[in-house]
Amino acid sequence: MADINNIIEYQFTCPAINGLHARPANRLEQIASGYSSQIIIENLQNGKSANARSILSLIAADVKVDDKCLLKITGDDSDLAYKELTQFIEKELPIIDDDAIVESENYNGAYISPVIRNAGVKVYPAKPVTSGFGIGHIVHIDDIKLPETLINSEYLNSQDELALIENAFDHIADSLKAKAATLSLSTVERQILQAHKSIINDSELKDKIKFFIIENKYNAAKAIITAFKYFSEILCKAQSQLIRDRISDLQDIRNQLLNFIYGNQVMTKICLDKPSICVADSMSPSDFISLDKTFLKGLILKEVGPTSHIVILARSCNIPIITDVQYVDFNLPEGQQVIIDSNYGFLLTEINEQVNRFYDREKKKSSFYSSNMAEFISKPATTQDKKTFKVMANIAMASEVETAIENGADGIGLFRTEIMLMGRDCCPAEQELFEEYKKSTVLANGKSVTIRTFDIGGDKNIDFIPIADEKNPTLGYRGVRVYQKHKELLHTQLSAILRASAFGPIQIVIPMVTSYDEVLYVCTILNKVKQELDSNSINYDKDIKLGIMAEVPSVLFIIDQLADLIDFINIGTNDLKQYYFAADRENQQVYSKYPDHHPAFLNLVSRIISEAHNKNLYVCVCGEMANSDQYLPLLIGAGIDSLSVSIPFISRIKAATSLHNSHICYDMLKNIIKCSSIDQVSEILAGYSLYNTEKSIIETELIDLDVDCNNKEEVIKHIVDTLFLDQRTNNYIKLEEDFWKREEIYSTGLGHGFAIPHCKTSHISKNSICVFRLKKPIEWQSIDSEPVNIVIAMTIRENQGAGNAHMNIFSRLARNIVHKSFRNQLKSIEDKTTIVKYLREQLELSG
Amino acid sequence: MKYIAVTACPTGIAHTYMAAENLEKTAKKLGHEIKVETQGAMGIENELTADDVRNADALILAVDIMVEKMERFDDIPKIEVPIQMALKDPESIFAKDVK
Repeated sequence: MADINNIIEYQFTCPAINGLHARPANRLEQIASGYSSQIIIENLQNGKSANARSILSLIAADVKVDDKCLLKITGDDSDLAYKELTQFIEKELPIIDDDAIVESENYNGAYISPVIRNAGVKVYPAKPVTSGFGIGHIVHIDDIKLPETLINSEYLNSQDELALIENAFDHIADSLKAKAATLSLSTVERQILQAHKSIINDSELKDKIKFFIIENKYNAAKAIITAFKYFSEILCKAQSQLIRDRISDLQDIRNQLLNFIYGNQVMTKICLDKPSICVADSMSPSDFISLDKTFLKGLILKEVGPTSHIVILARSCNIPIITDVQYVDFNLPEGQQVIIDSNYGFLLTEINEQVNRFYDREKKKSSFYSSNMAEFISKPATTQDKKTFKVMANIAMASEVETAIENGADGIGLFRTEIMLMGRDCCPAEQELFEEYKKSTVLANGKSVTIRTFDIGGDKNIDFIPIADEKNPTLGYRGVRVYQKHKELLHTQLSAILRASAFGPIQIVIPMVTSYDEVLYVCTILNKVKQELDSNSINYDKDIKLGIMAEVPSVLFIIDQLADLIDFINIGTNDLKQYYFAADRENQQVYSKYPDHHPAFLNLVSRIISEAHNKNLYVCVCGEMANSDQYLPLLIGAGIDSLSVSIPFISRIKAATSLHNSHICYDMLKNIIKCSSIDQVSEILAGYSLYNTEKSIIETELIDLDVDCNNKEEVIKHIVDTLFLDQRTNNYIKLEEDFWKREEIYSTGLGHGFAIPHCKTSHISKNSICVFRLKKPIEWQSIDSEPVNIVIAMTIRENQGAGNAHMNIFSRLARNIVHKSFRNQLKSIEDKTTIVKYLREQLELSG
Repeated sequence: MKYIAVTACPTGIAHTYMAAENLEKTAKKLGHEIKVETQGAMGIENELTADDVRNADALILAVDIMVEKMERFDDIPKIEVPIQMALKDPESIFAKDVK
């Protein structure tokens, strides 16, 4: 303690484990406010100093545990202030976080590629919802946007502008006080309120705003925005996540102030003008549609179910979504550049060279993948035994048709039409619907478009069709059930569809059918509309095909009767499963117990198909099940006439079809339906994929003699990507995890510059050997400590039993590697084909 | 000397067989006789019989996991090493004292 000219100084080392984040700063501010002395805390580690009466400046000083700090007190009551503050620092501060959670690194949800995990950047794990990755600038959708005109509007005079500020601060402070007086607040709500109160009462913040008004002659709007931006940026640079988390509170208060002063001039409509990652609590399909897809690179949502409609939409537009981001959810500063990865499930807020390399490769991989798929795009899906079926696309907007056709769709199997009703206060005019449907069939260019009539209710509520609150909306008033009451709506839509059918092949499908009478009713209206069009001499397709969605199991038992009214059946597997097993599809706890390969479900699907075929009805399967190449052989076995899938899956499904034989698929399905448990089915599926595709254990596609990798992490990633591109794995992420699990036991670096990463895994469809020669040697913790330049990766399918012929190949390979002559050959052979030939000879492989 | 050996590694895919091959190679070089049993993904191969055990001077266990049928080896002197040793420095294994 030194006392010179009435300044008392006290040096201390910050004892709080999470540093001076909001909570200790809050306590300091409370104490400091009790004295008239000026109280400053200087962080000697980084030179930042803070006014102890301002929480914002305290946390902006970014004091971390063990940082050396200097407390300076100047004023009349400095002695008393000194006593209380030192007491706080010595007694209270060390234990202030004892009941708080210490920041931990990762949660164990998503698997994060070690390439990224070890890239030296902070990774925020998140739950992946759709696939892909996106790079862009953060745009908060719920956030306020001020028109340029307001920010640049005239500066009245400092007095008037200051009065606006004082008034707004008083008002917000009062309303916070009133809210705090409410008794029924949760702890979290109280904490948020406390944080907001401390911001609105922060002297530095208000001073900063006033400063901009007086000195810079900013109007109130610009002063508020600039001041908040100033503090957000300081907070954003803080090391501690707990401090960065306060940014959202700042934004919240800023919005409240602006809203109070400017009311309805504050805009909420979002216009994207550069690559953007949008952040929102949740998003309605109409909000999603309004976003410019040229700039929308990804979504970070707080709430989203795996099969909700926003997900279906995002998937068809190839927009990645993540949710449940750990720690940062919704506190990301506006405009910050980030990467979201919804293949693995994480968010990156820093980008360095290794991260850039990773995403350059991911981009190359997906374009290489697309070019691999190109040959399948132009043809219908064809099995080995030359059986063909159509692979069509699920869409929600006519504008998607173009992308669908480009990606190889043989037509549109399901056009969901509810989106045009969303966010409206009345039904769109028939002409508008007609234009949309006409557009779809014109873009489809001769390929058929199946339009589903409005599926309202359930989770899709339309403002102008009020549906009373229901206890169980999914079991309630929805789909075809609402048509009788809203006859005009159905009439308008059918008329629009029929008129559009003059421009190209269109089919109609009715949602949520449960009984014969419902279909009969739609037929009656359809005939009425046809008569009206006839009497007005308007053209339409007189033989337009009509079908039903099989989403409720009861339809299986009325196919006989329905056959007189309809031409086809579309099976919607998600709803069908939900109603069959009485398992809410939004409730993962129950829904996940019934995978698509549940034997009872496969039995149902195949019975619907065979009943339909008996009555000469054709069947299309849409829904999640059709997207999966794992279930593809089952659907082929069931005899589907077409599949309708999300756009990104079309080429993959077509390519995968060429690996299957429809007779073998049929026999397998017959066996599977007899199974009692899901595990038995899994086993049959696993055995099937091992022996029934035409890929050898070693091929030139698995050899790469020019591998450009900087470290072991990148090599292992390259292995799994290579296997993915050769269609040997559907899940290169799980496969990567399996390789690393083995690598963690002890390094597979063998010495002599060789490494043999390997694993037994359920995520490979074919046993595989990859051979890589590296451009530059890399560290692999080898037994002789030498770097590695040749990598031989062995991937073996789990549960194939001892004595398997392939296992002999692997053990022969292992034995060969011990010999120098073998290693020298692998080092020196110049081309892939010769390496494959050499290995096949050495490993006694036929062919 | 007349050796018998068992090799076994966690995944049973690579090191089990590499170690076996290397032990055979090294024994030959040093003028020893050896028979190596592998306990890998294909189960037990080249299984050591009661005669093999009776006629051998020592057993090399180059293993990182529990070995099956250990009761066969109750009465024979043993050299126990981590499997990595059979790849890194196999000659040192044959120079070790038996226990």
